[in-house]
Amino acid sequence: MSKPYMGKILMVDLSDQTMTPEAIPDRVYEEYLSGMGLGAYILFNRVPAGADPLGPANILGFCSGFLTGTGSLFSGRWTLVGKSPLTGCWGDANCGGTFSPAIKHSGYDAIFFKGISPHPVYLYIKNGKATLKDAAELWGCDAIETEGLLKQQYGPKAAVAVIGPSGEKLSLISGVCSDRGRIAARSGLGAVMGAKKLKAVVLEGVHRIGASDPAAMKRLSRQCLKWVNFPLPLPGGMMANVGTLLRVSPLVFPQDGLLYTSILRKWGTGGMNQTSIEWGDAPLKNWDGSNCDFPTKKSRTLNPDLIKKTEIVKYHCYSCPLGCGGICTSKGKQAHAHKPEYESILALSGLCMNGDLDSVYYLNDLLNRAGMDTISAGATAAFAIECYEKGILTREDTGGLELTWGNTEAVVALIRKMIKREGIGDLLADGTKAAAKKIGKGSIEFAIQAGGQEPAMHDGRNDPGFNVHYCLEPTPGRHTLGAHLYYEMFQLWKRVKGLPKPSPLYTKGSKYKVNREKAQAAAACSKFMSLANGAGMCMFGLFIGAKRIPTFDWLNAASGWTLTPEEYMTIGERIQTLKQAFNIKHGIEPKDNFISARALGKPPQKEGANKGRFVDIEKLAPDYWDQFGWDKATGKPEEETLRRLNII
Amino acid sequence: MNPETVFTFTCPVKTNSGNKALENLPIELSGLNAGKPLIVTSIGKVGRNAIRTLTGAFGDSGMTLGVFDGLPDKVDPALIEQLRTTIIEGKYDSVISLGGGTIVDSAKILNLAVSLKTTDVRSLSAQTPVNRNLLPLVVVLTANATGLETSQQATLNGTVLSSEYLAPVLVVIDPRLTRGKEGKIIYATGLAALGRALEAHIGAGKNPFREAYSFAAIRFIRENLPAAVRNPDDKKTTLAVLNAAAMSGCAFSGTDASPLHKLGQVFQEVYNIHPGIIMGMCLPHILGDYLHQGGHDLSSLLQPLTGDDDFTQTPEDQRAGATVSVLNRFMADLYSVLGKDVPQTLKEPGVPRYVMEDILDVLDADPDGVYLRAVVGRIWDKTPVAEKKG
Repeated sequence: MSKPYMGKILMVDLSDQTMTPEAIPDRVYEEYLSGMGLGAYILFNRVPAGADPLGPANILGFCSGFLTGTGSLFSGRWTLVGKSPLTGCWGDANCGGTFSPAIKHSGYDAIFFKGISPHPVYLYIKNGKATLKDAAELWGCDAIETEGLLKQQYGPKAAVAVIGPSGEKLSLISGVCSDRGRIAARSGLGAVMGAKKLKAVVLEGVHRIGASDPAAMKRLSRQCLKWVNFPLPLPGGMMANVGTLLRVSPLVFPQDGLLYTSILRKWGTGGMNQTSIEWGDAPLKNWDGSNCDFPTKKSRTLNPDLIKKTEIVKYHCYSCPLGCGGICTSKGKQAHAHKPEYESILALSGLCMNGDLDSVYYLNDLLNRAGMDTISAGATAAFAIECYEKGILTREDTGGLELTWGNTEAVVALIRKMIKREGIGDLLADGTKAAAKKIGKGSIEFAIQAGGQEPAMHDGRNDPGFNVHYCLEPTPGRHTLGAHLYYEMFQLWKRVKGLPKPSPLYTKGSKYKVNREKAQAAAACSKFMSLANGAGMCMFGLFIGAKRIPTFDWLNAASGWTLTPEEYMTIGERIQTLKQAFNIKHGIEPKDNFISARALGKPPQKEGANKGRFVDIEKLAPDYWDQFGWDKATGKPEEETLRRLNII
Repeated sequence: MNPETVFTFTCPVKTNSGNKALENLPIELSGLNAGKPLIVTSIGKVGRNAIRTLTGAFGDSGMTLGVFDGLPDKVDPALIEQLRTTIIEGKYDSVISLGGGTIVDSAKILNLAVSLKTTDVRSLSAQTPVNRNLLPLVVVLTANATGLETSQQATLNGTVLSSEYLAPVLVVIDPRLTRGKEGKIIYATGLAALGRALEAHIGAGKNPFREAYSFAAIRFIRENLPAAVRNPDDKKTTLAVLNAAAMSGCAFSGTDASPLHKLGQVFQEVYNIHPGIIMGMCLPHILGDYLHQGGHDLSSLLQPLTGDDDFTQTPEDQRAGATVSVLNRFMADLYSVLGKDVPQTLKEPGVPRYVMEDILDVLDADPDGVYLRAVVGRIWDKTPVAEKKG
């Protein structure tokens, strides 16, 4: 029977330059799948407590998804794992493109690195045979340039993951790039790669990826295709109006992900720019502003149709029929670059009050080349602007930059400095929390972060579900794990027994009430996304709905197992609990990861879509933790839970 | 000029210019053993009518045409790779480029990729040897040209590839396609041609053939550009300006890259501004510097710029100064016709400072980087010399 996994990993010790393939027992795949699950399993067991994230004991892993290459759709995500130097917690970041199948084709489910190389190297694997090669000539090159050079050497079909200058300079907000500008940006894992003096991973191979029942995989994939092509009933000019409508309406109905999917297909994630600003989903002016500060007249420059106009060709990640990406032309040095995502656009525009779309394209490309996280870079720039406004930073500190809201030139110049680690840029290159620590003078109040990581461009005061996940996930500050809205779109209650079904019409205020159903929904999102990250699934595909996108059925058809959706949710729960256990092992107090007060609505905003909103995370946390069998007061997994999940 | 001076001049470009020049295309292609051309262009830049006019010229020739009208503003290697596959699978035997500027760059790179069997276009570099004939490449010029179309160069995202085989075998200049909708388009084309012709005329390694091309180009511009800018719909004057553009490319091919050309190119590459606009801004500054420094044969420019009478009536030692004055007046006249339609400083087209940093980075890598930087500094927001004197 053909298996969807290779059954082995490669462990590379950079200190002594040895490479050891290791067989992984089937039991591990049955309990954790691969992807993030396999990563969590390896790191939990092998990274010693208290290890320095930038030291030799930390392990960095490139993990392919369990479903990748099996014939399922939306399963081209790879996960980068390691102890985060940004948060000190469990760190992961994931990315689409074509790197995930390449990991498997090279003969492994995942490639892990420990130790520190004495000089810059890159790893080259061809059909399972691995070699470490000198990277002295690549060190200092930007991510896209490096990928181009490596592809010139190994051919256009070689898959490359690489760090840019930010990772080399150990910026704690740096990531790992692949596919000419896609980036696994979060958790600062680019710095871990830089600390290990590992410039790139180059993969070639033709190992076959199997599936237990290929015919069933094909049938399931064909069945769900019809949902992907659901037509969008709205023109781009209406998107701001949709947001306004959502803002003024006192009643809400559960949102069907099909609408969002059709927006993604037409415009990509940037399709939501104006809607989110109007609706209160997009944080503005370093989380202190509202739609009143960035009215439709100003946000017009971010209209999705304008972005669409620059798109030359759509970009599909591996096995994705949706194609939310795109390759665009832009003004600036580079001819073509990946279309900026919603998060990047809002972090570099609304958060800094910058209405210049050209500069967003420019910065997006600049940051992707440098290998720096666009969310954290934009958020850190916004933090610096507020510090400047409050007199905490002076013109002398900024090297002459007039850091005022909406000053495009200054934002670009500041981010350039961050990439180069020049002057004030050196101070800011590690994110807001690290910068606030150095600056002092009460600046921590303006550093909007959770556990050290800047949250994404979804305001938890608008959807309290985001705040739950920003604060309570083992990887704090992440938006790709759950939200009130996500729960509605996942429609898990249609497949998983015992989950609450949202009422067909509810008031906005009811979202803020603390009750068991909210905790159940949030925990279900966490479990489901942990499962999805083990499978290598894309969240955007999952938005179509659990009944329409047959994740559980694909997993059974690929593996030959006959697990129920509930049993799969337990796998997700196990992965989530293992990540939390990792944090506890490394001395993290979950309560220390709560997001900055401003983002919780403390004090509440005086105007705009989120006026008067406050999210009581202290009350929400115990119920959420309880859903996993973690201590209600501390968030630490109970011993009984660890045993139940076979973790100890 | 000493006829004993050793020089080489190659210009493999045939020119068909004048009324209904397009109608000769089928015969010309047959003469090149080609019968199935692929037309590449950008509908956004040349317009639907131009494509219709070109395809209509094939009438009942019996030739099968392929048309791709989606070329972007910049040369896109991925797209070129797809077009390469189209040419091979569709068994096209020649390429016709309709338009100017980056359209022709794309066509040249495409031709190279097909002829050299290059699957990875990004791997093409200045070191790529191009030493054999490629597919026949025909350039059909439209109002929006830069002069480099007929040159032996192609630019691929900042990298300049150079070989006599890159030049088109035929350039067609038909008045139905040279008319522009706006004066500023013909202005930019004319200034790019003038800039390159001037540099070819006074540049190192001068030879009589190059001088003949540059002389004619400068004179065509001098006599026709103001009228063409005033009335961009005029067939006669716009045809002359486009002829000058074609000649300037031929003349420039034998010239070492020089300041005006370099500045025009870098702004086109980085910010997609027509090089003629930048050359127009820089021209008075650079010629003023040349006058100050001496060493450049500015006096030789006076004859094509003014005519034989003025040239002979100007004392020899005053000709260089007179050249600069004539050019400054010429520029001032053009600016007065176009008013605010044409930017006179870099600030006007809204080039952001952060993009300027990229431009300066590129210039810094040039051996003349310090000087080029200084020129850019002067055209950033200062009143051009032309306006002061005009």
